[in-house]
Amino acid sequence: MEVQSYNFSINIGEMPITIFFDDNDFLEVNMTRFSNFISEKENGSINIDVEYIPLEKFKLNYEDLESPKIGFDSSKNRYIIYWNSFEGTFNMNTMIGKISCNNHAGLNSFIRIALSLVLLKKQGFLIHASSLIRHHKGYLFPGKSGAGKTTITRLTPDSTLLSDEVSLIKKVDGKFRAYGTPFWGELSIGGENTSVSIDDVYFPVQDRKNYVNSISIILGLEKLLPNVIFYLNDLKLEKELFDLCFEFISYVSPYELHFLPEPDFWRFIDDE
Amino acid sequence: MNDCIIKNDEKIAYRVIEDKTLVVNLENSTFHTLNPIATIIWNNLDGKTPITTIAKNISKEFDIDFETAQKDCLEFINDLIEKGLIILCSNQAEEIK
Repeated sequence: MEVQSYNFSINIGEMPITIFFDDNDFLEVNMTRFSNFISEKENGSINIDVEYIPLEKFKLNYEDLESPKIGFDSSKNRYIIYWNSFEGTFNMNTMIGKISCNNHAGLNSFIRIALSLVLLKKQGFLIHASSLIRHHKGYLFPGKSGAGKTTITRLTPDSTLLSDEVSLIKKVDGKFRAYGTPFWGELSIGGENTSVSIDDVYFPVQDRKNYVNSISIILGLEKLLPNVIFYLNDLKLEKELFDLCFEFISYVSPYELHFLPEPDFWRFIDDE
Repeated sequence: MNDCIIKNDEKIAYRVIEDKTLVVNLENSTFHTLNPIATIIWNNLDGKTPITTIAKNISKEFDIDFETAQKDCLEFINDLIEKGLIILCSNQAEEIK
């Protein structure tokens, strides 16, 4: 019996990705999820072959891992990656990924991991942060779960959402830009496929009153680094990422945003 | 005194910014912010400068007695060793003890 193949292309942070499926239902679910990022297929794409295996037939032994496991298969020059709902490989030279997964979250996680690897080569990184464009200006709010990333986006309806959970930062022509991503948090809405220059970074601190205070580069770096997404244990690449993060935090103005869950906090940001 | 304290460059990343330093142990993703005195000591951990010289410099710079400066230096260096941020060679190990 001939296996039909379906595919669609997306573009995240100016990085084209083409995804091939063997299951039409799975394709439709993912086309909906990535709808803001669908694009024409481009040369140089990351290509990902997805084999969908129903849950009852695909039981992994490494469930409940806090983070993905990544190894390197030097004989085939590719990373071997597995996490709760998928296992796969990714070759950085050919930019070809292959995964078996039992739900759409597996593909989503795989794309994030592949992007985190490829982005570093392009002077970029993924970060746990909400980001948005308000009055033509870009804002980044890094923080772990519960920091208030989604709350801030909810309280800013007059804005263009880039992400309420995972933002993509890239250095372009000597300046740092934030790009929309389809990786969402509590908001369950993907960002817009657009980008903006980032000049200020606000680290959210839930408090009893609203105020903004400027923080040092060193404190900014200390607050930024735990939010940067990079799963690979590779000291050389981790140092590259550290240097890039230092460059980023030195480029922007870092602040702490002490805020109440009310839109009035914007008044304090606007005063800066 | 011979010189043999070096930063564990293979496993750490760091940046000195003005008078403070952020050191990251990449193996366990821990962060350490060093204050101005600690930063002076850190900057001198070059594999050449003996601890006594570092202590003398701290003593002069911050107007504290040499014994106190040396004791503080040794405590700080021991702490850095425990955290895996620096490497101690054998001949300097005697001085630490």
